[in-house]
Amino acid sequence: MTDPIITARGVDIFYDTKQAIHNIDLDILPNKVTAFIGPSGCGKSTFLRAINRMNDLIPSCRISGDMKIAGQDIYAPAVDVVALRAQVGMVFQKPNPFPKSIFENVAYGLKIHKITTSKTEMQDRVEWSLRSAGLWDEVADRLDDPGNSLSGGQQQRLCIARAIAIKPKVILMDEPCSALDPIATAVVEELIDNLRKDYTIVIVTHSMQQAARVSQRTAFFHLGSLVEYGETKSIFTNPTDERTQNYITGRIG
Amino acid sequence: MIDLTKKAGFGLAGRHRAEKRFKWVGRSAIAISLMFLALMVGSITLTASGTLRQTQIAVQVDLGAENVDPTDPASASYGRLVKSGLRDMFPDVTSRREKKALYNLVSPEGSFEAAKLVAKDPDLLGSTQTLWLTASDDLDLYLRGKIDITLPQNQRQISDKEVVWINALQANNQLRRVANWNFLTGGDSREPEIAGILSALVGSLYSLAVCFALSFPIGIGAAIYLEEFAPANRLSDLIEVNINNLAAVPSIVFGLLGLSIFLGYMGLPRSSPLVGGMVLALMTLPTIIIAARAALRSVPPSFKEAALALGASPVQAVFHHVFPVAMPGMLTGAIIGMAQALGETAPLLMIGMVAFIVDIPDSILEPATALPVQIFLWADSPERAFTEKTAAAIIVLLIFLISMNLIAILLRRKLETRF
Amino acid sequence: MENEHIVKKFDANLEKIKATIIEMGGLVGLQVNDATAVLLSYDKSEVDRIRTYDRIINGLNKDVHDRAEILIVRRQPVALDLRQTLAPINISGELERIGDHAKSTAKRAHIIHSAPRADAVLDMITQMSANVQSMLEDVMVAYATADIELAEQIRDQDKDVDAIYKNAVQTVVETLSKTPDNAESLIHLTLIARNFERIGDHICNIARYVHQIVTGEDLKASVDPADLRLDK
Repeated sequence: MTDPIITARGVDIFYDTKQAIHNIDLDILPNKVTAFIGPSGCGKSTFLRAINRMNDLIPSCRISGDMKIAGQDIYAPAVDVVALRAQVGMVFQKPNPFPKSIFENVAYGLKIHKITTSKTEMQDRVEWSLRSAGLWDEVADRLDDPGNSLSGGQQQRLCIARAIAIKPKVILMDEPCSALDPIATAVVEELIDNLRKDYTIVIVTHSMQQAARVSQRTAFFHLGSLVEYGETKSIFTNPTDERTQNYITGRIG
Repeated sequence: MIDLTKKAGFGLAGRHRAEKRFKWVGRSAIAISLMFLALMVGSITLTASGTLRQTQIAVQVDLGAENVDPTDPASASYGRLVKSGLRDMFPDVTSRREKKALYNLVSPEGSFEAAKLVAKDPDLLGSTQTLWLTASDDLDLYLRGKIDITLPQNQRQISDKEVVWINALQANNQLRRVANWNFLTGGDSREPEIAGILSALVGSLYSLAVCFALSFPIGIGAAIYLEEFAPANRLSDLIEVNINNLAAVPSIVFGLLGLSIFLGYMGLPRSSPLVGGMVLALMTLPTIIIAARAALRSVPPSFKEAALALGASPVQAVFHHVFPVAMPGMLTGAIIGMAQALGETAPLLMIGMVAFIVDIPDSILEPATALPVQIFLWADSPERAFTEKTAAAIIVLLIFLISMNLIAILLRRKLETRF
Repeated sequence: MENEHIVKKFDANLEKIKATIIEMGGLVGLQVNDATAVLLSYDKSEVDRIRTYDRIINGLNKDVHDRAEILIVRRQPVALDLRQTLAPINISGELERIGDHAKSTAKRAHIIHSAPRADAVLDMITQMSANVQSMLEDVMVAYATADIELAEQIRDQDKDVDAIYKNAVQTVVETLSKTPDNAESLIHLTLIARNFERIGDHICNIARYVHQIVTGEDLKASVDPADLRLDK
């Protein structure tokens, strides 16, 4: 078995005095899609956001325990959060392209991280990102159009292209398809499956079918605890915990 | 059976009536406010229309070498020459009092005007010339029928004798009415027929420029810090409450502050647009901060989140994504603040911008007055002709305001189209 | 069922599939019982009735398939629900095959009837019939109540049936050498005995599915088919 890329040990997360995450141990394997499922308010999004320290934005949020990426504690004082987020990209629930052109959207990460200053290199990288996100053929002739002139599904793929432009190791996705129609969802799911070759993907989803379709591993969260974690196949065919069973089969638990 | 045309039941009739009633109340409210607006603008325009033209008198002035030295025409006493010209027209006037009344037909500025005409056109020298000089305000008013001559003589500004002279001048085509450019190009004066608005306009412009240059960057900076970076604690709350309270502080208090700090303590020049602008900036700051914060808050947090998730630093996220989107809104807030500052009188009175300024200020350090103060001064003057000037000044102020708002709208549209 | 679904219809749909299977089980049991009866005392009208049963069972089999199909489309069942939806498709198939064996037995009854009776073999067949009927009843109870212990006992019961079958074949072989003239009826008797042996196997399969529904594990397929490939 390959070594995990993300390891969480005894992670607790608090909002003020309210504990949102209880003592979570979790290993995320590289080049796999890991799905976090669970009822609303179970802490799956909170835990996801702890992986690239987006929770830092909430002043009342405190975290304790070990959260390591490739062996480095991401909450260590020496860690620069900007460097962390360059390695751990994120795609959000609602497509949120910047109010700029399609090109600018993808190039933004390259610019702020000064990955390249040459114009042709920049263009190549933008094209590569858009191709990886399966969007190039649809936007190649209108790169200067505003990002929000695209359809919802295209916008979400633009956001994915924007995230992969800086070549992160991990991409976090917070319910990326909840605002999309089934066709756009299918396109994004296909894309997620293709991206798995080069990236580790962690996806929070409310759709259990989606978790079953796109992920190789699934973690079920309930009331801030990790109830069950394992191969997606076994979670959806034969879960060991009754709470998981009740949740995925839609029973009153 | 379902009958969709059935009106009875569900209290439908009453609900429809209530809806209609509300629509009509709304429409009448708008109609009433429009009526008042029209009334105000109409009456001001009507009053101000008198300033559009002014009356001039043709006076024969002897500019011969014995009266005006051709080598130094400025040293001549034009006042005496104008007076003698007037006497020549009405030789039967002999008493001192009548002479004085006769001289008053021409504005006291007439002699300066004569001097200016000569300076502009030296060819006039050497002979007797017909010069068109500005007539007095009373003559102007009489010509426009604003003076009721059926009243007893002691109750009107113009005597029967003067009426006779004016009629005689008119019969000889020695009176004419011309466009009053002087109002827009001249400074203030004690004489309403000469008083112009330019010095006040320039004073206002300077003050506003100072006010904008100070309050916009400071206000926007404060708003961005408070909204995006300040930690949420007691101190921030306290600052927020105080800014909101500051916006409600009467403007005269800011004037007092300016008087004691800027003039008294810092020793900046009195009556100058610099100090005026600084005081107005103090007054405008809370408005700008509040409007800018509202504009920043209306930017979807998803932009900032997306930038942060890409590894942008908080400052980059705010300045690359939040600030440009909030800019039009912040600008609108700033323009509203500026418009308020433009109309403000009280704080300017406190720092001495109420002075009588004839010259047009060349810099922000020279004494100046502002449009609203000018209006206040003219409205206070006893001469009847100043009523018209007041109205005209109000119109200038309104045009200033409207063009400022127009600029704001154009700017906002231009910024907003960048997706 | 320990907990109810939030969507009540889901429970109702699953219940309906289960009830249909149990109805099929009852009919198949009757069929087996009647087929054994005509073997002992031939009655043409009885045979016709068995054929009618068969048509009903085929109809119910299709019914189970349709219900399972629409349930998958509508509810996308997972885990326990998925097994409760898929297993009935197999169980109803097994039941249908049991019915076919009963029908085949009934069809051979008149040949047995017209030949001299071989009581020894016939007794053994009656015994097998009794055994499989009790097994069928047990397996249906096990299915209805998700009782895996009961389901596991079925395999042991089937061993008895297999032993009797072996015995019956032995007896036929012995009788055949003594009375070769009765060969035709004896061969038919052998096939009939084989029918009951097969019925026992089908019931064992059903017991396996019951076990699978409850535990999620397949008793038989514990080996990955890929490991058994010859070209490996």
